[in-house]
Amino acid sequence: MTVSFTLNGRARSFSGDPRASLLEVLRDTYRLTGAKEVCGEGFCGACMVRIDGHPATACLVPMGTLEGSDLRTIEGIGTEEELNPVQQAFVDFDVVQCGMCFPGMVMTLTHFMKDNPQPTREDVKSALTGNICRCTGYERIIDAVMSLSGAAQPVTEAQP
Amino acid sequence: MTQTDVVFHRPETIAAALSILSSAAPRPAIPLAGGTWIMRAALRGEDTDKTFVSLANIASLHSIENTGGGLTIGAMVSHTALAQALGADPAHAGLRMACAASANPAIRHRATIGGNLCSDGFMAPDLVPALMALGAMVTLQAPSGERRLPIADFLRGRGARPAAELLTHVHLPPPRGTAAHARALLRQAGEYPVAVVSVLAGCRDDATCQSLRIALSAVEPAPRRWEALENALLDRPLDPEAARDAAQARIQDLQPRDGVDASGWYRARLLPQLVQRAFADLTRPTAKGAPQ
Repeated sequence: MTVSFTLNGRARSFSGDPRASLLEVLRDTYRLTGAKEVCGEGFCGACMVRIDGHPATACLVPMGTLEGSDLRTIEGIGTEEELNPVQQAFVDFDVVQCGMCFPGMVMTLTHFMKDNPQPTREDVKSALTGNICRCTGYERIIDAVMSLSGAAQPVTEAQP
Repeated sequence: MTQTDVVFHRPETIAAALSILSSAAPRPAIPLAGGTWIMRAALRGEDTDKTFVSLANIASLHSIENTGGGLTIGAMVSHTALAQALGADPAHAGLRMACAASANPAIRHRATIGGNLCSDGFMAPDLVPALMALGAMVTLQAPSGERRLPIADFLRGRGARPAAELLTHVHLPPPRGTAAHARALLRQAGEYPVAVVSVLAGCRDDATCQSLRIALSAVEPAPRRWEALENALLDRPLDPEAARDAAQARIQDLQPRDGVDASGWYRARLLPQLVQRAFADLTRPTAKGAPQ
């Protein structure tokens, strides 16, 4: 069984075990290691990617369900020259500590800010209920996101 | 695994799915809905070498239809989709809250109503007690035919279901009454609740309670109705403090489970407060009309 999909804008097909998780395949087959393997239960959000535009924990998605899907990972939402606005805010507010959670945080928050350009801090906290920061750096993460609230430029993505 | 050994099927009809589930194969076949339970089988120490029968391409399992004033919900409808589809009817307030608050946003988008009901061993579902409070029924289809039964009966037989049987639809009766769903978390969000109380109440014009269903989740190993508490509160006005005291007086009815997240005694101690909170929600807009 071959599964065909788009990964960060490139057509791909996968012919390994279709029961394998998307996370395993991203990391082991495509060497996209931005999505982290941490809890493996969908609680921590460190493996957050986007499937057909919506955030999903890659650890819980079997490859066989992805035929025709449009997949985007942290490697596919900005370039070194042009970070996505959430990434840039994370740099500007010195958010990143150990580095385990922030790719997932960026994936969740990029999607969230597109739908909620002027959130309250409470809205941001609700949006982050599936992303755990083991360094407990939440307040700065929220500060960074709030700096984008009502920004003249809506949160969109560079297409590498 | 050999090249010819198919371990993943994507049938497009219920009949095709049942045919695969009932055929003799080198390994057991299991239906796959949102995957959020099955993909953690290895963490639970379960056998993971099973054939997946994905239900994602069966169109009839994704629909939500009005049927005779009630709703028929396909098993593959996600928590998020159901939260968005339920209107403002007060009888659906509990289920809507359960769908909009379970787990976390990414999981709610993938996890399904059918999966919530079929995941034997998942002890803290939110949707199941809300559906029990509503008096929901489920349709099960097998090669031999289909049957429809109440959720409580389904849960009782859940551990010994035939392999070739699919829960295809959930049926909600026409909405009557007012519902509430109260859940306690250790952190504030994003995890399983340590106790859940879901209530549907219908009141007479004199504000006394004509009909009442109270369902619990996360307290015992499986969701259950709390009939003794229902009987104690029937024909009385909805009163949050009285409901709390009645729950406290009947806490010995329950056999709360110990878990890594919370001990049994702790779940039991939370329950009267959750009952009070649910009844406080019920009394905010006055509950009118009786559930079926």
